[in-house]
Amino acid sequence: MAVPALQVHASRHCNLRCLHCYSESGPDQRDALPLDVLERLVGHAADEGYRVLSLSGGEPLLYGGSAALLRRAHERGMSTTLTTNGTLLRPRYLEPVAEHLDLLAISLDGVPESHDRMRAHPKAFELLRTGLAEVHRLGLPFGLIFTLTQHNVDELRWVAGFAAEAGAKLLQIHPLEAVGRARTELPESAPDDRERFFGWTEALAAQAMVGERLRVQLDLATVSALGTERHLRNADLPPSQWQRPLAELCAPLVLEPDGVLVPLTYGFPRHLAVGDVTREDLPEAAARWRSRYGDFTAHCARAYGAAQRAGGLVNWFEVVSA
Amino acid sequence: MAKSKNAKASPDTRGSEKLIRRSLEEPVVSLDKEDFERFIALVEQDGIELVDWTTKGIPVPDVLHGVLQVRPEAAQLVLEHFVKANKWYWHDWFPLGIIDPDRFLVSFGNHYELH
Repeated sequence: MAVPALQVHASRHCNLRCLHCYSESGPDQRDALPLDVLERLVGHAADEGYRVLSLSGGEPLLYGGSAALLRRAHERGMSTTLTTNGTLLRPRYLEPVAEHLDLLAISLDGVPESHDRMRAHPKAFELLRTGLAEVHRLGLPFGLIFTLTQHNVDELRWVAGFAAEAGAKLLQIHPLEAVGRARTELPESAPDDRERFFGWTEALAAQAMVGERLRVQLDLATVSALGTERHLRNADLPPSQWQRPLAELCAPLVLEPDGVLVPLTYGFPRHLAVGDVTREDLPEAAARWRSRYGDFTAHCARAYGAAQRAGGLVNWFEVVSA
Repeated sequence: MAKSKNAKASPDTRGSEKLIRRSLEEPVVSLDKEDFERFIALVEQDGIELVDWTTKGIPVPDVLHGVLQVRPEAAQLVLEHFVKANKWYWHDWFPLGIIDPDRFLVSFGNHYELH
């Protein structure tokens, strides 16, 4: 079972404007959540049983509070990850966060020309490739994240080879969802059933190719495998059990850039949000959310029903946030 | 770093289609006796069944095309065999079973000018 994580999107500020960005981040997005609010949230999340802090964005290497948040998480015994677009792998950005970072997740969307096209930057791949030297110098463990689209499953094994050669520990394959900027910039690019099945076989083939040097993980599951999902099993929890630590009821917990905490994934329906950390602290928000936990599990059960009717390989987070 | 093979492919083409096209461009590779022996050992594994096949080659067969029926738990084994030998292509994994596939029909062959 996945270790419960708090995923923080502190800002939508980014140096790139990627075509598939689910949060529609970019250079002109300047708002950011206050560091003191986020530090408090990390402490409260640790109290609620969350064991991982994942920083995302926007580009978290551009958020001035990232180093402090990672330190705070380590102080509370959480492990830490940070997801970057890979164009800022330079001492100025990496050194401040390196000491308290357990895994750097770098996005790589295919062969160089595909990556540059998706990142809307002519040198995105070259910056990533050369920046890996700095990642190695700092001794940072890192993984790559590949977004599977309707058009790029043929590039997956190349990415796996690159990842293994570069010394990555993990290659995560995540299917594109038609949300955020992808809806307008990449219409009809979310992988259909056929591309998902090819994604599955190519992920297995990639694992066979690289062996134990690299772990290849595909964020797709069969419907029956989804049946073991924690939030579906929790549908049977009596209200007397809803006082458990929040991490046992809802993980991942995702902080969106406007301060709203939502269950499971960015873009989750707002009527089931946990709360707004700019207005109240997590313990108060969580207490109120627990009292209507049944609404959340009922929503998950409905989503599972839809997945059962659709069949095939399913991205649970996409299904449950639809 | 290896040069990518699909630099000129249209970004609008399905990835799976490009994958299949690429496999058809692979150089012809004949199978030898050891390849056939390893393949027979593969189809004797649990969850893997050879349901249709054609061999070609005179006097000794050096080409094999066919269809495997593979259970999901054996898929890794099949793909490991294909990838490590570097002589095989596969152009479809057709799922059987509603709603959850419990078997796949896998069309496969060694790289050969037939296709």
